[in-house]
Amino acid sequence: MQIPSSELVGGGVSFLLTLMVLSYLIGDNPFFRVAVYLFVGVSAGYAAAVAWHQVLWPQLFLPLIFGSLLDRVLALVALGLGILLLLKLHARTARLGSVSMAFLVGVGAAVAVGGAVMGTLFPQIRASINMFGLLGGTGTLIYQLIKSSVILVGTLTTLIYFQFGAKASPNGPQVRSWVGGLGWIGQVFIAITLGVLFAGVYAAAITALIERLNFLWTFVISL
Amino acid sequence: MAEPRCPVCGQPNPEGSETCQFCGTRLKPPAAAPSAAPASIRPGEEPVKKNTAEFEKVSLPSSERQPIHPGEEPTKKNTAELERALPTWLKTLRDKPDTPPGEPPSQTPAQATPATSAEESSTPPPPPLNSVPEWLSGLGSAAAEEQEIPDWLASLRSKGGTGPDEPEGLTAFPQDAGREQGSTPAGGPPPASAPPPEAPPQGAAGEGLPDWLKGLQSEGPESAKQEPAAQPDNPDVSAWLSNLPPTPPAEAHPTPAEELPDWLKKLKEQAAETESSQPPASATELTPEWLTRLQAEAETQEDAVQSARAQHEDIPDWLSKLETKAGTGATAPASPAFSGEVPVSPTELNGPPPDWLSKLQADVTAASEAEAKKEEFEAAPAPSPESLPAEPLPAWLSGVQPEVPRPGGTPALIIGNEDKGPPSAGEAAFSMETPDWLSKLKPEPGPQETPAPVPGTGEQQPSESLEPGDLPSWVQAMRPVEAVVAEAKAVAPAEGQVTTEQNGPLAGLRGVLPAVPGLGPLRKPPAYATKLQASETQQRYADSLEKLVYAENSPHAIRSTLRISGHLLRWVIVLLLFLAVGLPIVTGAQVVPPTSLPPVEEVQATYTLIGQLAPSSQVLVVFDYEPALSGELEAAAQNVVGQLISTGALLTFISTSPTGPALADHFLQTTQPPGKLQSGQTYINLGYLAGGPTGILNFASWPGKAAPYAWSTDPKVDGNNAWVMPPLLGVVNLSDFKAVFVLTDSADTGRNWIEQAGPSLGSTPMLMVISAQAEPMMRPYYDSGQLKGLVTGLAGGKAYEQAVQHPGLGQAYWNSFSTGLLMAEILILVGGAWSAFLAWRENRRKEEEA
Repeated sequence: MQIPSSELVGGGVSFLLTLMVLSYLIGDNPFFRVAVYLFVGVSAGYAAAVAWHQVLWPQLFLPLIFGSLLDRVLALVALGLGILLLLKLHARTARLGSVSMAFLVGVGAAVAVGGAVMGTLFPQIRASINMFGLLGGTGTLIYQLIKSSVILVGTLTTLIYFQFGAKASPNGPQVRSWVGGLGWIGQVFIAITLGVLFAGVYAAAITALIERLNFLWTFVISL
Repeated sequence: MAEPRCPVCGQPNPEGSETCQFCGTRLKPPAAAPSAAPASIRPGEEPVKKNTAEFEKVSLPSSERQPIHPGEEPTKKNTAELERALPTWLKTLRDKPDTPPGEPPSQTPAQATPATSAEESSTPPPPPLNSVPEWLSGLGSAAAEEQEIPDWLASLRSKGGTGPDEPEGLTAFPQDAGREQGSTPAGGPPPASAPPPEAPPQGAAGEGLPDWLKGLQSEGPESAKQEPAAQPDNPDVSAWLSNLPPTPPAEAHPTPAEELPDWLKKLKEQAAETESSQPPASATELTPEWLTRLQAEAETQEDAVQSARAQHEDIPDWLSKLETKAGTGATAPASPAFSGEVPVSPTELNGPPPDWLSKLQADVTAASEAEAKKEEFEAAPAPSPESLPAEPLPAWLSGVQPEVPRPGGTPALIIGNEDKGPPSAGEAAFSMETPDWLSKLKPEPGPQETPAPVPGTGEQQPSESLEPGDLPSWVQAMRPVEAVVAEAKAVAPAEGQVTTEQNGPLAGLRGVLPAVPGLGPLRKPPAYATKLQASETQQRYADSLEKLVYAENSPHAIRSTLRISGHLLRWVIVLLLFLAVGLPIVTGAQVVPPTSLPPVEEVQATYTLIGQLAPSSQVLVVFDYEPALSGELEAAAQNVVGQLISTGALLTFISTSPTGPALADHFLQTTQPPGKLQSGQTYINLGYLAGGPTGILNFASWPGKAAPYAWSTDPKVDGNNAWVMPPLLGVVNLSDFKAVFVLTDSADTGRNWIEQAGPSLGSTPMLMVISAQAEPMMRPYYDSGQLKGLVTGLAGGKAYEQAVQHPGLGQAYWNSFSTGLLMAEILILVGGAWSAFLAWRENRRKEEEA
């Protein structure tokens, strides 16, 4: 089966770029640098094109030109804030861009804090409490109890581990003994978590390697 | 030929003399070189007579402004022309009339207006023949004042009494005796028969002396050689000087700190030779006026001393000795500043030695005693009058009262052994201030003369010169502490009078505030150890620091070890992994036997939920993963999306990453069979959603406003309103979707969608297909119920394939995935074991070394 030329060219370029990136195994070399430079450049260009075609034009200039009065007003506000933000590039006019920056920072902080509180903190606390409900869960009662206890102990000891307060003593600041002990248990949970994270990263990476080697082999076979 | 005049003092000197008889200035240069510059003045040459008045505050003409170079012949000038250039003080001294020694100086008013007198006088009056040189006229008046008296002279006066020895330099000033008689001092022109004065003693010590002192020194041996008949102007001086016994050479007292200057040594030697060969020298014709004034002052002080004797009863022994010795010594005492020359009273020249001479002799004796006991401040016992030769004390010293040492008192300063007895009179007075050269001059025992009255003993000697009187303040200040304290004890303080401190470091001082009762007597301050006081902890810390510093500087032996290159290890690992992953792909061999994975709860939930979707359900699929991990996500989400398509769901794609829409298209092209999806009909791509979490919240609140247009490679669809197309038809809110699938490789992106879009979903379930690296962070959301389904990585995809029973990329990659994981596990185990072995061996080596 013949591969279309477009796919062949694309495949060939992909093949070369993949080898160029894998050449980093022997150390930093010009092939790897070229591949990296190409990736950065293409990514930036593609992002700029996407930003124009999917953000600026349809949501800023199009309403400003063809939109209703309300759309135009909103577009003007957005345009003004954007221009003020661009003034941040020059030292003399940087102060004018503080308005846009303040708007962005304020909105971003509010969204982040509100989402963290309502979307993570409260639901997780409710879920931790409900674990000890021992009703409706899967598994036996003891299993659920042990599971809930382990989760509770791990959560508390991990939080205690990050407590760095100490009291003054003649020999210098010292941490309370029970705080230190619980913090040690939290260290164990933290270590287990880091190990699991490492395993996940490795799994993802090995999967990516498998996919690339499979591509290379497939391309070679197709030739 | 005019007589050569001294360029310094201006006195005429005999012709042919090499040095000035008055000041000792060299009149002739040692090697006079003819100089063409007549303006320079050379010693020995006759100065050009000039009118000194022309030089007073006027600028000399340029012809006369030439500098004087040493060795050059001075230009003969008229000194009268230089009158105006003379300083005012010199004029004042010169203009002072000669006063007898007993009279107080009366030139004070005149001295107060020196400027006016100097300016008014145009020409200086001619000096009398026998008058004191003008340059010395002020010295006597200066000596009369207490504030201007040098310390050495003050110390001499305070000692009181004279020594038996003849001062060495006394013979150099025979002319001073003439002053006391009121006759013209021998400051006039020298006698014709007077031999030329010798050159002043040269030496290191002589160079530092003023010229007038050098002259005095030089006149000492010279005058000793003169005939007594050659000095008719001062018969008294010559007579008593001739009666003075020869003074043996002074014994050199070893001074710990200082030595006699060379010039003084020479003086001593010369005096010894002179006294041994010739009779005592007679006085010269010239007696400095300052010497005359001193004599006058001495008489004044003598009167005061005599008056003080009547008042004070306690006289220290040292002072008694001085007074008695002053009466016995026929030789004049040595004067420290005059190189042994002191003013001689003219009344004592023929008879008993003058008071000042006796006193100076006593000074020398006391100084010699003080040298031996220099560090002690003990009061000397008052000498008995019988043991001391009676000599008349000078007037200025007669007022000095001997002091009885304070018994049992604490001296002001204790340096040495406190158990020693009270110091002698000479030690107490001269222990701190006696010059070394004076201490080395031992007074010679003179002929027994009329003993001077001992002050404080209560015995009034039949001497008209010694009268008790009040001590001057400067003499009282010189008194030792013991004398003051003893006096204070003897004299009861009257009511209202200040008391004298008797104890402690302030002993002897008057007006000291009494100590607060209860403090107790002052005691010696405790001695503190100079050894560093360090506690054990500090010492331990210091030792630790020292060990650290030593260990830092000490060289460590370098052990040769075989070190494997890091690159080699990396290549080996890469090779192993490539073999483990690539061999199954290349060979297609089934390395791992095909096994079915156990059912995973979250995967089963996902499968169940998708199965419950109705056909043509509008489902939102979010493609928020990076191209780097597209292989894993594609393998994991292949069957999930495939099942959705197979159920007939209408898919809406959106992404918060710029590369998301392209990845979505790629996903559909690579994982899904072609022809099943049609853009704008079965699926629609809303493109890129900007703003991150804020954009998600905006989309969740107003989906139509946040992403109004479609993005597609099909130009018919691209850029059109997506919300009127079938996949989004009827969808207003996010909750209108039947399910939301989020495909992400980042835990943050997944959390953002959960946090921002979750509250707006309502009952719409949210499911995720995530990468294996995000699973630890996203599982709590599944456990909490915020996620209804979760497919994680290649393993999840494999499990889902088992659920749908449709093999896919998961199955294709599973063999390599298994060998790759196995190789990683082997490498981890081997590496951990090797690290443990190395650590054990290192610890064992450290233990062996320790």
